[in-house]
Amino acid sequence: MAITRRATSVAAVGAVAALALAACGGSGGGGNSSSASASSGSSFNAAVDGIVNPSDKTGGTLQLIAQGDVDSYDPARTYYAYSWDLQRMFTRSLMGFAPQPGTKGTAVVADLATGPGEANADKTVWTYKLQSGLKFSDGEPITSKDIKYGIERLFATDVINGGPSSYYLSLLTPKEGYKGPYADPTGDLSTVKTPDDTTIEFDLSKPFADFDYLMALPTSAPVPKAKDTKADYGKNVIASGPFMFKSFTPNKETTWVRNPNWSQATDKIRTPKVDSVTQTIVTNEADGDKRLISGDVDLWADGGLLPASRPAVIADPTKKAYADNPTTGFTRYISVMQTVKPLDNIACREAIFYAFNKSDYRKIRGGETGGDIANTMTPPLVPGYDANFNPFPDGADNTGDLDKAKAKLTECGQPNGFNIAMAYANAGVGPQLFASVQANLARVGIKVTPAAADSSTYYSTWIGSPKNIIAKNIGIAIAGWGADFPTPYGFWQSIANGNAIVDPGNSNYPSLNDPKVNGVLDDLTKSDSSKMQDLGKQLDQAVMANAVYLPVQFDKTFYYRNPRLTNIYLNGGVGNYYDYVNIGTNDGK
Amino acid sequence: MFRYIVRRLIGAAFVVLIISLVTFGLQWLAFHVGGSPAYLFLGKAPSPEQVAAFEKQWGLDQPFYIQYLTYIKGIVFGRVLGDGSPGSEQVCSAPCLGYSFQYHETVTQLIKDAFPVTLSLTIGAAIIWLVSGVSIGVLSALKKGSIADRSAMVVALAGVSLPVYFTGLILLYVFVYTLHWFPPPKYTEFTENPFLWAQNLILPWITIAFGTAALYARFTRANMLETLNEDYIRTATSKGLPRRTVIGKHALRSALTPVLTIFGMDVGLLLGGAILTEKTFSLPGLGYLTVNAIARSDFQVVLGITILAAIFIVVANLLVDVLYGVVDPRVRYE
Repeated sequence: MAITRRATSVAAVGAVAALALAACGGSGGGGNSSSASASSGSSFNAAVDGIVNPSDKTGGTLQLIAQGDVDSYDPARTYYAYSWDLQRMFTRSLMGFAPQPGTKGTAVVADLATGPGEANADKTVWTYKLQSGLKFSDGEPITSKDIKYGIERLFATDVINGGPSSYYLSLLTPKEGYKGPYADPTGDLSTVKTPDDTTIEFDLSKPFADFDYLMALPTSAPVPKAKDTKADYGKNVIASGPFMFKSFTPNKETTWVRNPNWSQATDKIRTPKVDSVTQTIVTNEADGDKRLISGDVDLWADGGLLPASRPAVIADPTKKAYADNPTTGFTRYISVMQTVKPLDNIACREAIFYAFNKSDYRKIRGGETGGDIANTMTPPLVPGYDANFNPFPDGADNTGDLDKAKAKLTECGQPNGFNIAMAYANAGVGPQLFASVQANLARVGIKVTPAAADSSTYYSTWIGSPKNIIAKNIGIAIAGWGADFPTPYGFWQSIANGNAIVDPGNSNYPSLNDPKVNGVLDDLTKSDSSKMQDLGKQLDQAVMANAVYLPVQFDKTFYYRNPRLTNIYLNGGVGNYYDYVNIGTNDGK
Repeated sequence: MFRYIVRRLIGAAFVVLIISLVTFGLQWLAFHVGGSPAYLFLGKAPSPEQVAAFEKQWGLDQPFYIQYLTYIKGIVFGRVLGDGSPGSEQVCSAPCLGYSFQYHETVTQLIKDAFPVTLSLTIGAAIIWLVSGVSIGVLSALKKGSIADRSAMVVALAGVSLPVYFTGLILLYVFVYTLHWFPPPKYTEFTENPFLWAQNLILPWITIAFGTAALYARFTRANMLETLNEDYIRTATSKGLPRRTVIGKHALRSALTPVLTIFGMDVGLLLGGAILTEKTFSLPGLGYLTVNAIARSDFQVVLGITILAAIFIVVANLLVDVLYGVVDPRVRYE
């Protein structure tokens, strides 16, 4: 679950790195104006599914603002969703997300590689060929050994940490073990082979059909061994993309300029237009919104407008035409713990599902511009989403079906309700959400008491510890989830695989361990991408049948973009942020 | 005088030591009650083995007193961060105030980056509030009951009453977005462009100075009125000394002594970070650093800034006490 700095409206955690619809696994892409709808005018949500203001005009500076710096510019150590989008400007990987708007952008396409990975029958060996003529910003050639070294660094977990390296470690740790290039400078990661400078082979410890997606994350980017400054590499990144660092002053400003050693001929994902990009830290969000709407800057890099700034934009047609309100692929939900009595009885859990007031919850989370009501867990952009699937209908106005809830209470032997504790982070809207849930479940006699925790440890040791859940008698918990990469496996593996439950640091908060769910997840690691949609649906239905994940809302972000921007679109592959690397300006300034 | 300063310095060091012990204890408590910072640092789903290795690497598995002594040793002599394993070693020179797991940077370096911003903010604002506050206070006292006095006190009351973030937002709205007299605020280093440095700080200076100057004006006025009624002032006047001498040399020096006390405290406090003003004007100073650190439970940063702020306050107090002797000749150091 990649993390956003300025999540859609309020929350501290959450959002998505990438979300997607079927088109997965394809090798399409290439250019960004050929297959997407393009529009020279702008209208509300125009950048959600199309490219706005297509233009070949070059020059100028893209001026981004952000509320805070990214977690790290080291491609292996960053886990903020918008940071992965920024990485696209100066970091290339074997694979990448297509330069297309919306769901089309979730397709993985070749980047440094000549094509998608070639896998063996059981998806345990993946081979890639690199293009020729690839260079780092210092003029040195990019070879397969640089890719391998980037992966080797991930094994130095005491130095290179902060990113999603656990995927790579779980698949590529050799039987004899490996401690990374710092602790073991003469060692070799034997599971990654580089027979020549343009070939790289990965021998996985288990099947993994989504490996192309892992190769699309910046985590797997090439790093030149001679220029690796270890923990400080984030301040001295050697670029492989069309931009490179000119300056970086933490908490103040970052400037990128064009990388003279990048070649358009080798890159079908990026068609940069501007000469430079700046990102300035603006800590006063309301002031940042004013600057953006007045045209002083171009985009918020790390999120959308504040809820308070949205009504004025919506009310003014000339402003609204430059706003977009896409879903982010992040699902807000309530985890219903089957490990706590009386919720070990499925009818008691279902009573909560029917008594829940999603409408009230959404009002607190930003209303209609903050998200859509969710009836199922899989978000709209991930394969397996079915808009018609609603296993727990809660009334036309989504305020709950109290008769059904009472019937379920009777069925589970608790006709007068029961007592449970509710976990929430004691920050942001957490206390408000608790009050709302407490009041609404009380309508059927379910008494909810608070179990608040600090936001920094809420997910890791509070609800991330199955023991703590039982010890504190936590029956329900506020949570949210987005995929690291846009596949059913990417969305579900961490939160539904009963074979991956740990304590603490668990993401499967309700400790779901359903053989059917585990089986579909296993199938997904071996199946072709053509089966992804069908298996995704099966998985969603199997999980929902357990009544442990109560979906509430699909998050949305309310963006505003400077009218001067050209070639602008929201890319589902980079978490429905604007695809910064391909944006231009119509005034060349 | 020298013995007095040495004695005060020893006392100040003791105060800072106590504050560091209490703050370090709170941080230790947060770790043991709230959860390991490993989860802040290690990224997606670290294994229990990784968490344990992290805690060993950073000495978090050591007893409290060893962790504290290591920290204090780092401040005095510097230290090598981590357990010195290959690749993870990082020299943190004295004064080493710890390591930020959020920024992957030493706290000392973070403070070095942020401090010039806060210092710039403090210097300008302090000059404005001291000069304007004292001047208005003196004039009000001398013109007691006049329209000017009453008007000044009404403005002062408003200044004291209005919160900093409100004043800041109003100034932004009027002078940046309506009149366009100033560009949207963006910090520029003094060494880079002194004019832009001042231009971008003038509104934050006024924001801080408005409220504080108002307090100083009321305070100075009250002190002046009290002093002007003293016998020695009447004696000086009856001896035929010029009014300017009576006011400037006798009354003002005496009235300024308590003003100097709060000035020292205020400057010391402000050097520790002006959270609301820095947030309002997007100034990346110590206040901004503190807010971010608290929000992300980056306790080493909070600890470092707290100790630094404590040092500023005790040093400012010491300086003020020494300056008493200059402002008021009646003060003698024993």
